[in-house]
Amino acid sequence: MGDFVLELDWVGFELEPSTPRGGRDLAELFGADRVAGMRSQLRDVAAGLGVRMGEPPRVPNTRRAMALVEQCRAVGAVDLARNALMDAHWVHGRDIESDAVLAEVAGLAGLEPAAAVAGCDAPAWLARVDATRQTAARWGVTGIPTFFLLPEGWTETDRAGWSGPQPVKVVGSRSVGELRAAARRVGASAR
Amino acid sequence: MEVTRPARACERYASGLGLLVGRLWYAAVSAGAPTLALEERMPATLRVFSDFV
Repeated sequence: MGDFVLELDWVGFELEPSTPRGGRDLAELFGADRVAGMRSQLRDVAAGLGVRMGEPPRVPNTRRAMALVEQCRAVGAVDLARNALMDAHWVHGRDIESDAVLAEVAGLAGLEPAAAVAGCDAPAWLARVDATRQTAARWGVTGIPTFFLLPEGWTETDRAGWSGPQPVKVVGSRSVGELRAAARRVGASAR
Repeated sequence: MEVTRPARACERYASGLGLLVGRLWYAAVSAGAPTLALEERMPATLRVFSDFV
């Protein structure tokens, strides 16, 4: 048997679409003590993985960033945009709502920055964000990350989904069938 | 089976850490190749619904 490589297809799902522009303070959401504990855990896990992490103080509204990702998807640069926005928020503590950050990411993706920033408020691109949300609702997505394994030639009824982080023995199972079974064993529901 | 960095991050998630830690998977993706190699020829897509936060 030869190896095959799963293609990662990242799609944006606004976890908290009610987050106001400007975002929410983490301490306001979870309480200062809990945030401190979460950050400590995050630092430890990140260090163990060799991943450098910052400590973003706020949870931003991500709707415009999602619209930028959709623009980048149209030119085949969705992964680049996702990575750049993740880094901006989680590594560098930058505001991914800001025009400056959005323009910078757009430029990296080969888009004309000013036009792409304007596109972040354009109904056509926001409609794509909304369409993804509708798909997510139909597929039962309520949290992040939610994964779906989609075999070649898939239809919606073929999807095997699970929500939340999973052990590698699940993600690394040897076949779609085994993956489904393993996902059920760890309590993943059919989505 | 080759398991790349994101998959190892997923494994760590299984320890049931908190909400913020759950997002680390994406940082790991950004730090390494977003692929998982399995031992079977079965083309598939791993679609991930997620946010930046």
